[in-house]
Amino acid sequence: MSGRRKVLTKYKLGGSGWIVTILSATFCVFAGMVSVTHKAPVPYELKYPANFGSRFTIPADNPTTQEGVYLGRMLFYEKRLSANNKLSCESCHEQKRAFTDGRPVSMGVDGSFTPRSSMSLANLLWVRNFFWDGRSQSLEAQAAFPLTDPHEMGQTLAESVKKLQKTAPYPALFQGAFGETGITEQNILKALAQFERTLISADSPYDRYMAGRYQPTETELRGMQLFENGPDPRRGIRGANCGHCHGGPKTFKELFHNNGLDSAFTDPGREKVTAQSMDKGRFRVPTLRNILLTAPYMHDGRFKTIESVLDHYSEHIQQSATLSSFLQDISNEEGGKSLSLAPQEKQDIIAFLGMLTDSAFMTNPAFTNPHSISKAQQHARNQDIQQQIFPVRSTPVRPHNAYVRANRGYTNCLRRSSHAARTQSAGLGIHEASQP
Amino acid sequence: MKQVSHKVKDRDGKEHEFKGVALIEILEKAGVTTGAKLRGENLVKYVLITAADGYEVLYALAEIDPEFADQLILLATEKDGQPLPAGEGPFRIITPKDKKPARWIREVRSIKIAFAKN
Ligand code: HEC
Ligand code: HEC
Repeated sequence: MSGRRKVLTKYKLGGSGWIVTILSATFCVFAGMVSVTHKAPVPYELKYPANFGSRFTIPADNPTTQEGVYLGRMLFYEKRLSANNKLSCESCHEQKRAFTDGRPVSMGVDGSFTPRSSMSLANLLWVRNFFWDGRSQSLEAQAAFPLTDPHEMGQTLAESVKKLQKTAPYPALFQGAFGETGITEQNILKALAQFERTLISADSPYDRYMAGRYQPTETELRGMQLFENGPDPRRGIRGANCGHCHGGPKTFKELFHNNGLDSAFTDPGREKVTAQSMDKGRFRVPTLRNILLTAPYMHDGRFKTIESVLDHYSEHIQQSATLSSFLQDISNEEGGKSLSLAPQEKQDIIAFLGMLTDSAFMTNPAFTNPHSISKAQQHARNQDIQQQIFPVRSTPVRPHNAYVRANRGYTNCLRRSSHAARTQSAGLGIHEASQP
Repeated sequence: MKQVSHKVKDRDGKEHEFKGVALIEILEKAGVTTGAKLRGENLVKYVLITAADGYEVLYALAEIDPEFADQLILLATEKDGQPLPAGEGPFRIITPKDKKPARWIREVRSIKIAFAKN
């Protein structure tokens, strides 16, 4: 092996807090032995604001690449992955609704309903425990659930492999993304996971506010204060304490809580995963990004409107043995038993939640259905899909090892700059979590 | 194990008496390198404590050893003579010299000791 080169450049764009890291990964030229050059996939650059932090792990055996992401996007919208060829991931995760489906629970191929409500697929890169109960630990593992669940897409991975093998342009796409291994069960999951990691929502008015580029309205500002503050009537501080669980720039902390929906539980939530009775009725705290577009709310979609969510937290918290201690005995009235927010305060909080709508996320062309192109284009693309969609690289690249190495540098460089970004935008929600 | 107690001011601004056992004693019983064995490469060991809700805090192992630090970190089981209530117990860490109680992690579910990697 010779001619190895590693370039890692970091740009910080004027005050925006965005960091663009260009990874020109290691180029490994195989001296002498190269007669047939197989075009290797090109690393995909994940962009996000420094204040999101870099606490995430991309599996070493599934680096994010342009080809993998594109294939994942094709598969996300591919109905052949379902038993009746009628459902794709999109059926329950529509881009225009921040990848939810607007229904309390969703219908699968067999006409039955999922036990829980669909979840928004934004900023999954930072999630470590997937689903409402956190039962899956990686996007690769997660994808197998909806694909094979008889009440969702209902098709074995082996059957999906067979169908894709017979469908252009998949053989070429898989080769481009994964080389010789081609279409396999694992590669289907890997490609989907790669695409999902790119679903980053980080350009809402709230992000622009944190970067000093957006001036919130009066009501938004009041809502933001209420969202962050814990109530302390003796000191005259009004608050809703939402930030305790939904705080930080990503608007979720990866915590499991019983937020007082019920006093008896039809769905045990986290308890099913841990087998600990202390976890009965606990669910993962979901992100509130794009929340005004993702009604109905909660794991069972019980609340049709955001107003009823606020009414819940303000007046209807149900007591039970596992109710989160952060929702007990907190009130805006001295000695009060419920949060007791005034109607205007609820409106203020909703105005703040509106700041979390990132309109560009819902229209980002990189996330739309790639199948909706004409037959002629399709044909042309089949000829050489790579050439059309991705920049052509003349140097033979071996990205797998290279990317992992480069990626490590990337993470380090972000870590270093995140402190600077934090101090720079010392606004709300940037502080670290504190439990008690 | 020997019961220890600390009188400290909690988040609510009030003083409470927490009772339990010294965290170091539990680690010792579990075979963790403490005392004379806590030197050399063992000084890059950390202790990651996780709560039932997924909240996590981290200590350097040496911080927990009273041969290094001027305090005794408690794994508390009682508050003011009562077992810790649901949502706080059955175990809670009390670190009297931490000025902010953010690492006084409640509902302790797991304690992991590992070498820091760089
Ligand atoms: C029939 C509807 C349906 C289909 C089809 C579907 N999902 Fe889902 N999805 C759901 C539901 C419901 C949940 C929540 C399930 C739970 O928590 O038990 C969910 C949760 C998820 C999550 C977890 C998000 C988080 O924050 O933890 C991911 C990721 C996901 N789906 C991806 C996919 C992918 C990829 C596909 C296609 C392979 C897909 N879904 C197809 C309904 C669906
Ligand atoms: C103790 C932690 C905690 C606090 C405090 C908290 N939440 Fe939640 N929130 C949760 C959990 C857990 C869920 C998911 C519950 C479920 O579906 O069973 C949730 C769900 C939600 C949802 C529904 C999300 C979706 O995708 O369906 C909204 C909206 C929401 N919370 C808003 C708020 C607001 C506004 C506040 C402040 C008034 C707040 N939360 C305070 C823990 C909390």
